[in-house]
Amino acid sequence: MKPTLENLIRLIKAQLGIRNIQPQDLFVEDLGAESVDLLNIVAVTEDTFGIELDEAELANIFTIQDLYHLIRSGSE
Amino acid sequence: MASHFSNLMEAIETHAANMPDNHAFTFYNDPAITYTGLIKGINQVAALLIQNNIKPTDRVLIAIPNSAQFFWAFYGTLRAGGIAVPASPGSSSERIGKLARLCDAAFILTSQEFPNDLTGKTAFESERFSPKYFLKHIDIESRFSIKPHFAQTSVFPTIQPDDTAFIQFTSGSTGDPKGVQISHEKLMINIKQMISGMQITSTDIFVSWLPVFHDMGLILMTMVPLYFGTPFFLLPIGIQYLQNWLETIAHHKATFTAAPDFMYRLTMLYIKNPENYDLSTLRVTLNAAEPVRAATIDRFERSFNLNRVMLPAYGLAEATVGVSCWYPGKPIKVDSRGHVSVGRPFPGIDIKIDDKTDNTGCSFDTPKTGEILVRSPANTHGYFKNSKADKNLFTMDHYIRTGDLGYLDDDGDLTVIGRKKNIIIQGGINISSREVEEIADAFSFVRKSAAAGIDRGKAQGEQVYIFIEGNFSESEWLDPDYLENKKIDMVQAFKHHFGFRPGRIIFMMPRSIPITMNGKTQYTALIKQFLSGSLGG
Repeated sequence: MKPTLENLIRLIKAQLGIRNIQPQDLFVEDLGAESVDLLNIVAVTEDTFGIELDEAELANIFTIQDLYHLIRSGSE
Repeated sequence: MASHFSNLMEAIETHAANMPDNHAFTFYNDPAITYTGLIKGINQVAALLIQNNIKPTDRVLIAIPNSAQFFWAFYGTLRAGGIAVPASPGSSSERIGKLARLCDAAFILTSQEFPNDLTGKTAFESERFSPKYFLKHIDIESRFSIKPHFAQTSVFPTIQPDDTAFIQFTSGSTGDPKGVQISHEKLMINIKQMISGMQITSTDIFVSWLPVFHDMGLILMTMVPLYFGTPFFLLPIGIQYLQNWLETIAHHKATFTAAPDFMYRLTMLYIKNPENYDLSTLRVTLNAAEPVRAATIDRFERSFNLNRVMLPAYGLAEATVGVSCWYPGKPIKVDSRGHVSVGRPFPGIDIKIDDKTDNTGCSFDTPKTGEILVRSPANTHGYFKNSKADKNLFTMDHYIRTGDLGYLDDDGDLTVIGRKKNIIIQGGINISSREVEEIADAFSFVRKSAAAGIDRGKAQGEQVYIFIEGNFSESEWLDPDYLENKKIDMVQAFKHHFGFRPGRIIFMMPRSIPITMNGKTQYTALIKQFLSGSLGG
């Protein structure tokens, strides 16, 4: 699967069990994600897009947009 | 000094008489609770329960988050002659209702901060359960609305050593959670076993970020300091309080804390400036309740400049809680396969290995590996109204079957290597595969489901993976929106039940889950196939 924003949002919706998600949503405050949910999102993203992300970057990810940028910067 | 107490209520009463103004504990940013404040809250809840005709041994389900209220409710129940049954306040009303039904609860105590929809009584009605008295809150205001003369004139029943103090629910490998009954006497025995085994003294300062409704957070981290009458510091649970945990340890010069391996891993991920936290006063930072990783110990100690204070430990609810712990100040022992030893059993506890029950499918060399059996004076006398489960728990020679696999080495140290039962440990909480599968199987599109614990060596550790053989048409399989919607429904159902989300849901074609000739799921094969990437679907 291509690492597009649309596909990323699809993965996050299925992972968090939330239907309405926007790119600027904050994982914790808006979507009620726990830290472990975020780690699981990173894992499913890696598996689906065939990429590897640095877990140490996690503390800097607040929004879906942040995660998308990390994915783009890693795959370039 | 402390050794003559025959139960915890007696310890609290004695402390309240001898040092009424001393701090019993401090919860987060709240003012410290003195022993006078603690006993007052306890007596008022006890009076409230007596006013509402609590009978001896009535079960009182307590779904209250970390807070002072929890202790008032817990010990108030004991004082009134009841049996406390702690439950996660994050659970759905259905699950709370189910637990209440399983222990035949007479009361449910919740608090003002209760975040769920427990007030919706229809949820209980739908469970065909109606508690005799439904107490919505215990908060400071309502405590003082209790008739004061009643609180003063109440005569509390005498606690006998054999009386059950509380019931700890634990996941069974089949179906419903099982209620482990712990008597007052056994509770005191295990507290003393842990004190002796971990060399705990009245000068230790405890800081806990663990849930009080779970055995390690409740018994080790709050009952041990209450027994000594030494003040402890309790925080709300959740990653947002991670910094507070470290700050509290540093600020109060704590000597003792505990957490599952996962929480230490999270600390390393989220705390970028460990040098800002002085944890050097820590004598013990216990690592237990889920598999311990040598890498976690190494990284945590190096990050915070600690030396030989993170101690791997082992325990289970059926032995009250603590069974064994590594030695303070001694380098940890890691075997060739990376398993970390959890040390020698506490005084009075005997461990043996039953190598006939090893069903991991692997062949082991010496020392002999098999199911860990524990004989301890603190072992439970049995599950609540579940004689069938009791039969599987006890051996003829009075050991309990832990369901965990491991070995004893030449030094007499125990190493845990895995589990026999289909139990998943996510974030320190035991979850049975069966309970997850029951949620999945309720969906009409599920042909077969299997829930397994998958640990891929990453920070999140073991996670619940739900493998679903989907009954989808060809066009449905090709429709990502359709499949996404089904996953969302299932995640919501899981979260509603457990209060947290599963690690992953994976849809697969029919007949992808490996089964035995009798149609039973082969969990070990499933996990192996998934990790190697050879799983069908």
